[in-house]
Amino acid sequence: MHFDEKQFSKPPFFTDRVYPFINPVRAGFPSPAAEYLESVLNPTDLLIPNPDSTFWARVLGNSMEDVFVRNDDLIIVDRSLEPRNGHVVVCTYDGTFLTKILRIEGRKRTLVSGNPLYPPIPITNENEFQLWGVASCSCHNLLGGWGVRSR
Amino acid sequence: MKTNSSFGVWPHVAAIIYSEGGVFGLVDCNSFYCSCERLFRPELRTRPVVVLSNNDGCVISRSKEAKEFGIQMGEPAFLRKDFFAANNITVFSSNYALYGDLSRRVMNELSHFSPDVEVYSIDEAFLGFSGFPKDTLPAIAKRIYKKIPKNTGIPVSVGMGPTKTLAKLANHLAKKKDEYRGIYIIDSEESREAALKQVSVADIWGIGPAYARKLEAVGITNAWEFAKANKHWIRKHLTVVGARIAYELNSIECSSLVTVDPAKKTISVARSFSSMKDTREALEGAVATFASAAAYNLRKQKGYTNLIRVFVHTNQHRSDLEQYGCNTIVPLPVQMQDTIKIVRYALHGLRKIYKRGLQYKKAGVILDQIRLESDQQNDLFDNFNRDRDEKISEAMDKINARYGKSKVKLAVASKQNAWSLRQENLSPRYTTRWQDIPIVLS
Repeated sequence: MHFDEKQFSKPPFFTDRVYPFINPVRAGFPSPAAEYLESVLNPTDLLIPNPDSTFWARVLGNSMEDVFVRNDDLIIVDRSLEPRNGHVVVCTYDGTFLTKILRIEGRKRTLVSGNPLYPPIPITNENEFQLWGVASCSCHNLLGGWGVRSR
Repeated sequence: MKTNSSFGVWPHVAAIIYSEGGVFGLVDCNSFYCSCERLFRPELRTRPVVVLSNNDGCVISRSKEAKEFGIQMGEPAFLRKDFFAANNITVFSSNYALYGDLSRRVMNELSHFSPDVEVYSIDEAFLGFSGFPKDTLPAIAKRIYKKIPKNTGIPVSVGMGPTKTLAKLANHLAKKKDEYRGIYIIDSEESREAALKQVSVADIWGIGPAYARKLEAVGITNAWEFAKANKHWIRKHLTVVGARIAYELNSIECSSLVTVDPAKKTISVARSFSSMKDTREALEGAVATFASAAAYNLRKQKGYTNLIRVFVHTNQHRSDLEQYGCNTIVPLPVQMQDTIKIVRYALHGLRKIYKRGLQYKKAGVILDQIRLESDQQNDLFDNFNRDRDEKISEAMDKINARYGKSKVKLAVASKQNAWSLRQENLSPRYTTRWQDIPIVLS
């Protein structure tokens, strides 16, 4: 079959000639909603109030299941927040990243798990420890098929 | 050389110091690239770390511990390879996606401390504090010093002074001397004198090795002596550049903040190859890739180029091979900004200087005489399909912005083995790629 290639690549209306249209001319009623248009909801506005101090991390392990931080979940870590008693924190403990619940009792600080299977870890001078940030949010994929915990 | 008494040459100085006038801060990230890598590798926090330049060529960032091993800035990495391994020094290839993102965070955080921020380089920024009451500055410096590392993970040092040169000098002291704990503020004649006396002329901002030698030859060894030196002598031997530095050291402001990004007059993209290239096709691929990257950057700043330079050279470290290096200038008939035409002219330049039978190590493309869009003037005899070419470039930029860098490119830029970076120790892009975000154990 033979066809003229030019005809396909160029619709006849758009020739090289210039059409004297300046602006589209409107007819009919203007949209009554036009005045009420708002920008769409952007989840980062809600989840990440401090983008310059926020980092993402992926969780590996099940020691925080009771506080809704499960294996393979994404957590949002905000370094600008002040870690307080009961916060879920990300810390470095002997050179690895850990997420635990921070328990502060007077001058004593303990890392507590959100799972009774794991004993609390006291923070002493013997181990290298540093608070890295506060986990402000956990993102769990509901399509993973783990809606009900097996335990 | 005989120097004049304290304010002998500038009698009016004493009156204007620390009264009106601005105060500048310089915030500098400590071992920036190393700090970026360490943020996501906590086990390296107290270990020696170095970061290598593009292509793993030489050392461009050293942690404090690595400096203590005597590793110098700019040392060729291949000479030190065994030394790094023997001393357990962790080596990283440069990860500009990571550094760029963390730099942006630091600069954004700095803008909370002053309305005037001049981003001076990837790891340092000048802050303007004019109008701030003088007694609030120490508290501000302390807050910057604490807040930036807390929020971004990058440690900084803070210098403040009545001119940019003094702020830079103060920062140098804050960083080098532990007793200042990362902060040095020049806010009185005493603190200025104490600072200048501690800094050697070679460490003054803007004094290069050549000027430093000249000054040391006449017995001027530290910044205090330089600031007091005869200004006519300085102007004669160190030109107006040296004089300006001397004025600034005496608290007379000669340069103000440049808070808007000035458009670049030249854009250059050049790389060493990971393995040497001898065919014209391989070099064409490299030059086309560099020209495409340069054209993209040109469009980003809405500029047009008038002149393209292309250069190639062989490996100077291989004395066993024939040496050659050449560059050429390709004047353009009309101003351009689109990839297709810039690549075409760059390749034209390459063909003029290419010599067969040599082992090439490096090539580069420089766009020169860049003007803004507003200066654009069409040539009467311009027979390019300007609209078409610019639309193609625009479409390429849009596709690449959406689907990843260099997803669409000119065929000549993707020639087999065109060029590739050697990045043997590249870290993950922890902050800019979902598959690279850090793992946290639970």
